[in-house]
Amino acid sequence: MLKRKSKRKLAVSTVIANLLMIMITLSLAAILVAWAGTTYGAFSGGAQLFFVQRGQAMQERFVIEFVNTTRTAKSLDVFVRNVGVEQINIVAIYVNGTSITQFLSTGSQCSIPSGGGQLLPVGQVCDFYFTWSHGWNSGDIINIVVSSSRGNQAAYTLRGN
Amino acid sequence: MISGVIVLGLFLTAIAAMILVTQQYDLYQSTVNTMQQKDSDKFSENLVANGIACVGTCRVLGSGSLNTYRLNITNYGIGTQIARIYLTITDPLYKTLACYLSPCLFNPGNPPGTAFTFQQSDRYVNPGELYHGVVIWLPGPIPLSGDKGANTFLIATSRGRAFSFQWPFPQTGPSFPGAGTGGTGLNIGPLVIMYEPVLITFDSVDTPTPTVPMTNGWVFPTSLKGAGNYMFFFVKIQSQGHNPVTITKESLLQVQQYGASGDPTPFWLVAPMDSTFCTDNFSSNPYNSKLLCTTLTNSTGQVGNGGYTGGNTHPTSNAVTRYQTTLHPYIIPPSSKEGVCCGQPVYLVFGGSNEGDSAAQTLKATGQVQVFYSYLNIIYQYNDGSGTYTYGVNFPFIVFALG
Repeated sequence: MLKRKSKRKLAVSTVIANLLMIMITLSLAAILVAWAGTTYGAFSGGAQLFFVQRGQAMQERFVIEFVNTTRTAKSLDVFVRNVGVEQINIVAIYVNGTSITQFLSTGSQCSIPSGGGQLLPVGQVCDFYFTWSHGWNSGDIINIVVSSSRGNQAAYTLRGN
Repeated sequence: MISGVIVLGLFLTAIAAMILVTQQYDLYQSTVNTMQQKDSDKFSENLVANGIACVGTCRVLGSGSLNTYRLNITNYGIGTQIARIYLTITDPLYKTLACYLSPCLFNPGNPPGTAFTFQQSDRYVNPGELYHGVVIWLPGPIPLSGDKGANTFLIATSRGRAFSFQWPFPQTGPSFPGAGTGGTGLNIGPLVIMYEPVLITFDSVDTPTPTVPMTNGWVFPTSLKGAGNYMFFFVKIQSQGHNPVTITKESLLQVQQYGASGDPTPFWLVAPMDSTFCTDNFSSNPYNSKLLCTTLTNSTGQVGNGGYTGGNTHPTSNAVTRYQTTLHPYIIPPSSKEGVCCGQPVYLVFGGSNEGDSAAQTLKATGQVQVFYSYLNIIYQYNDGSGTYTYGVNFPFIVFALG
């Protein structure tokens, strides 16, 4: 009686095949996660930065509480109050479109240094005192805009009597 | 198997992207909602000034001393915190003072009683609170006086709102030709009813001898409360009709007190005063020259004083004698030209020493400032040419405080 020799036709055993598929799957998953993390991480990082910055800008609230005009001295006193939940950095004051760079502030009054800003904590008031030589006739309009470093603005309009 | 892996990978990627991206968006949206609520709260604030009263005596004093005032505010909005008060004086009479044309800043006082501060505990105003008092301190050399509108106040809140008013309150309009001072008045039928703030006065003795009219605020001094003390209201009435007007004894000034939460308390009925007011007791009053104490005759032939005649109509307990229209009626002279203001002004005097209905009227003395609303009820007879008829009007008049 001849002994039949069974010839194995499988490259690997079933167990090994399953293990290989599992390992391949896991490897592909790891590559996919790494790729997704790199790609979407960059995207979400940008989105995260965008929303964080917008959120901080949203939390800024400041108002021009009072403006005192002194016609004889041609000066303006602008009182700015921080009514938001974030400290603000006032970087510019415009009067009729002209940026104010020189301030007469003394003592507790505020100013905006060249290239910098005036920090204003929550709930505090800043008094900006400066000269303005135009618009002191009856009917003239003085438009004051205060800007923060996050891009928010507060406006105030006066009209001469 | 491979396709399953691919699909699974896509699902995982989608979930990762959703979580990573929406997390920051949710946080941002939460911030937006919070700030929108803050904006809504900000615009829900609504403060209305009701006036300023002197606490004690207010006049020009030396440096180092203080003038104390009480600023009365009604809150028609949500709870509010006062952050700062600005005062600017525009009357040139006071151009040497610190607040003239340049604002004085009043921050919450610490310690209290410091010049250019207001009482720290007064800075919170509850929603719907009537006549909330804010005590402010000015240095002695700066009293709050001057012409109407000479002092401009601006109340700044912690949410960024600003509410301004002028003190003393400006008149509602100029006097029209022929009329006296006091604004345009309230036209009711032939009558033109006006009121001048300086015509509230008080007295500390039993016999009605009015002292200098109150000029600072509306506060009846605490020291003068009690039995035997009078408070007087002068209502100036003119006529633009062509016949005289006769005031009846049913006319009265009703005074109603309300607590801070709006609860009413007993009221006064204040009636026209005795004729001795007119002829005997105004010699030192600066308005004596304006009082019409001459005899007039109305359309029915009655003879009476054009000024103060009669006494109190309250049936019981008030010490002032009753107003008697049959003997000395109030007669408002006609205008020289019908429909055109006005005839000679007559000062209708309402006086009371006590509060209450049938019980003896006494001014409250609780040590706290109380606010009173008054309603003027004028009953009068007038002949417009078709016969003599009796007319009546009742309207809110003035608000004042006892403190």
